[in-house]
Amino acid sequence: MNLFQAVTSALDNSLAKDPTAVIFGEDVAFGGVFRCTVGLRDKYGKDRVFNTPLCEQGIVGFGIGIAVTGATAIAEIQFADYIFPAFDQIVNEAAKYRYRSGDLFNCGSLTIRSPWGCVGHGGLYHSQCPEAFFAHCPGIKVVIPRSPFQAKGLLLSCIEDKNPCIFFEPKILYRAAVEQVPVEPYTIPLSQAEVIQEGSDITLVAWGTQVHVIREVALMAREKLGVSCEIIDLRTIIPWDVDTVCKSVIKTGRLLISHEAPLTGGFASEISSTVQEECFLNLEAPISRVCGYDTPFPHIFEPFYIPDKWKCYDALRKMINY
Amino acid sequence: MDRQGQIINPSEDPHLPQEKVLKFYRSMTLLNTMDRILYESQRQGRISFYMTNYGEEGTHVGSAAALDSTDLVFGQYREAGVLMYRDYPLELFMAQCYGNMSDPGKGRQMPVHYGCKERHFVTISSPLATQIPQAVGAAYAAKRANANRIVICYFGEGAASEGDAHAGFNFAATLECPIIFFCRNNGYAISTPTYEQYRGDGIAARGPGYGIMSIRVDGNDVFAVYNATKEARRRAVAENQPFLIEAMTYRIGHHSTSDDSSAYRSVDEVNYWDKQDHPISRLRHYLVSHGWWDEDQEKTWRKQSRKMVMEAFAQAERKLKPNPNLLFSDVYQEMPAQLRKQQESLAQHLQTYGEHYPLDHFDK
Repeated sequence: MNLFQAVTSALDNSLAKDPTAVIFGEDVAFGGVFRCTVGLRDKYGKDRVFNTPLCEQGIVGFGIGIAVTGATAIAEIQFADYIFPAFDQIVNEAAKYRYRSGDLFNCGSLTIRSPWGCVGHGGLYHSQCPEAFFAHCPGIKVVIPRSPFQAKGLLLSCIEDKNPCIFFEPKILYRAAVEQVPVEPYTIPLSQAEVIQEGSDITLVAWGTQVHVIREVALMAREKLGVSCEIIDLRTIIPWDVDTVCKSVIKTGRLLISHEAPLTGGFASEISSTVQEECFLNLEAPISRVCGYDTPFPHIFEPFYIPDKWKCYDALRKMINY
Repeated sequence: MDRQGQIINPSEDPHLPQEKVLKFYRSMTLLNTMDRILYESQRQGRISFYMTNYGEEGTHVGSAAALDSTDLVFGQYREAGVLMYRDYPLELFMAQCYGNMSDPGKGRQMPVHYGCKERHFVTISSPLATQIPQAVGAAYAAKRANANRIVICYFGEGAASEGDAHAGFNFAATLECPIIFFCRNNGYAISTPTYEQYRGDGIAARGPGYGIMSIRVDGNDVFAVYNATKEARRRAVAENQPFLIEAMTYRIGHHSTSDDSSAYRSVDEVNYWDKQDHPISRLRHYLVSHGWWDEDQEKTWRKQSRKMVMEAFAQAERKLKPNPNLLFSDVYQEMPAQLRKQQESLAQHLQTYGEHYPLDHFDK
């Protein structure tokens, strides 16, 4: 399956298993602008897979309300770039529902899915990676898969998780990434980073599409520099797996974090800050962040903007030589 | 009813039994008594904040009485009478205001942010109008569950200006949700009068723009509120569509204890509504003219209700606050590892620096 098919499969499993589960958002009825919901309305009915009016604050607010009654709400925000009208509902409401009510009420059965990340031509409003805005919000979980297999397992975990979750789907991988994905349901744990390749000289951390970039960088590092890289896919942004990352850095002594989102205030800063607190004496070099520039996401300049393998490789080389 | 409690149009008299109407009256007056005492308690520094419901008791009780007890309520913050009508105990109103260890909300929020799962009253949050699309989602789920249940969503005329209100109305209509939107138009959003809030014909006139059947009622006539809500409920269940009720009333009190409304409105204006058009007075006239209430009962009830409130108040004040560990729970269903570390670091900090913290007031 490719990534969008993996998403469809996860949604299909959810609606089959949980009679309360509903999917809604803009254009989901005909199958969705990225085809993630194809066939589901015919299979499960128009009361379970339906379009809403064009209103993100409404979509998320509505989803919270469904979840408050205990039913499973799977909301789609058409592009992560458009999640901001729903920011109040997510941050002030969904994230705080359980805490502020003393656990009398919660909206844990809400999952928000949204296409995320650069796509080659998306420009300012079809390329954003807003995870850092949400990382600052206790009470929600933010999850980003790197592949179809990961996407299905992580999405199913988000849907089953008893806390409101945001699931960002790297849109550039929707069709491009293809792998074997089980048809039956399975889950991948949240808040667990995955060491996808062990190494000894430097730890590389990324999530989503960027995991593939740092994998290439690891190959380059081995061939050109004889450097052994440990690669970590963070998978869950909050609550994040501090232990796995720190354990790795204690071993390697070097950390490079890379994300498309702009450098300042990006999630790499949180990782960097925590790791230097926990692993200060183990560090052989300053922690390096290879990120997007502090600009809106440009259209024609995308090839220069993104933290590609050359920029990551160069940062890695400098760290090794520090 | 008119202002003297006389039924204007006999065909619209709901002919409610004496016991029920007395329950209306007792709920409204008990709320009023509790409001007076808790407002004072804030002035005296005993609780941090309070919001009264003066003048709007009819909107709360009339609507609450027309619902089923399992209908889900989403409120804004000035609907305590709905909880009062549903027999929420004084002890728990006070516990929340004091943030003491009996508070089911675990002391997490400012006063008057009540919530009650058993009475189907969703916990109040401060951001305005956020409850509106949520109520719509809950109604959609209720429809799917075939539960013969509706949702009622309260908000003020000010909150109706928020984008969330527009979102909620549109979703309710397009997704055919069994919901009653109940707008308390009380004349002010803090200091902002309705003339500065909207220029159209109030909130009721917006409903048809969304395809929502709407009605405007005299919010200080508890029977009118009851009738409108009863009919809206009947039709919402039968037809799976939203209804909008705009209840015209007046906010006799200040916005909150942080507000002094004499800065933006005249005392004469307030007194007019208090004396000439108060929902409690109007209902009392009705009760008296039916021989269901008299001066002696009024005196007795005033004493009794005041005593009940004072007792609950004294008890609430004496109780300890919840254990500071409760600062950390319920962020997620399970406590994340990093948060547990933070909890431990506070515990350690208190071991050394505990004398600088009000630990004596908190449960060990």
